[in-house]
Amino acid sequence: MTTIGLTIISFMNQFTGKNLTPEQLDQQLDQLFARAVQTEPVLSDDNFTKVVLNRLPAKPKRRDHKRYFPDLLGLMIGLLVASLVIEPAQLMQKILAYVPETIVISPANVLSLAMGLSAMALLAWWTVERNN
Amino acid sequence: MNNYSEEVLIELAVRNDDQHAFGQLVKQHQSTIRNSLRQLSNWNEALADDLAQETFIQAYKKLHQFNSKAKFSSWLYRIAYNQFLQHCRKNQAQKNAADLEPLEDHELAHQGATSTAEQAENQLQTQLAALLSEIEPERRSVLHLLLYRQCTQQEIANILSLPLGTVKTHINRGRAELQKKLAHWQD
Repeated sequence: MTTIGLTIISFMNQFTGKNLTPEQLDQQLDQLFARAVQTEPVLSDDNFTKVVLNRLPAKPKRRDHKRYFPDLLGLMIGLLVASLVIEPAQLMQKILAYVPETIVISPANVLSLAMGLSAMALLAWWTVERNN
Repeated sequence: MNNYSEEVLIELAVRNDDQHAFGQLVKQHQSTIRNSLRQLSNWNEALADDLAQETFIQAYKKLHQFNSKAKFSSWLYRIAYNQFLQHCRKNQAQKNAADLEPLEDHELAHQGATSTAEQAENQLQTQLAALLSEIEPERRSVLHLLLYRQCTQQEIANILSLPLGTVKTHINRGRAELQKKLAHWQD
């Protein structure tokens, strides 16, 4: 190895007493760094890659349009068949028959609504946390 | 997987979210990225390795944005220098220079350098890192890419997202600063 014991001082001493031009000073600098590049240590991986891989975040699954295509096609066919078989006016009448004519809001109703919303929020939070 | 080309490994990591493929990319580039960050951080090995880890994590997150026509190493450098400059800005805000303090000679002698030859090689690396550390971070990054990584001015401008004129100014002023400091060391 030609650079054993090389320090900046020992390198610079080669030029002591010489009046260097700015171009020569530039060359001197380039030579010094070129020496450093030649002796750049190759760092062993040790556990570096392992640590990086352990710290990688899980990537969210991207939607694959090809995978969703059969579902979309099935839905379209289903809607087409339903529109041929079911009369829309009759369907609306049957749905409206289920709507009550009067709605009474009692404290018990409000309480059960609040409980239902809380339960749904909790379920949503738990699902998100589990996915993380 | 060891025989796959860089392009194939990137493709596998992006399309299949293949972490083994990404691991191969990390293995191939870890040494140069860690060395560069050591040079920039005044040979602070712990800090440089932390920044290098963050660099690869960011690279993994943004891998789908990588333009396959570009050079992967240049793209990694770009992330690494951004990490380094971000760290410097944070430090400047906190006025905490402790992270960039050079390691003592006796510490360096114990860390990794097993033979006299390795210690001598390390000495030049650490001295150059100390020399560069006296220059402000952005100019230091430009000089490092020019002198150590031997990039062209245009490549430096692309990597650091700087106008070419700014790169030229950093090079001219940085060279003059380095020469002054070298002369000072000689005295």
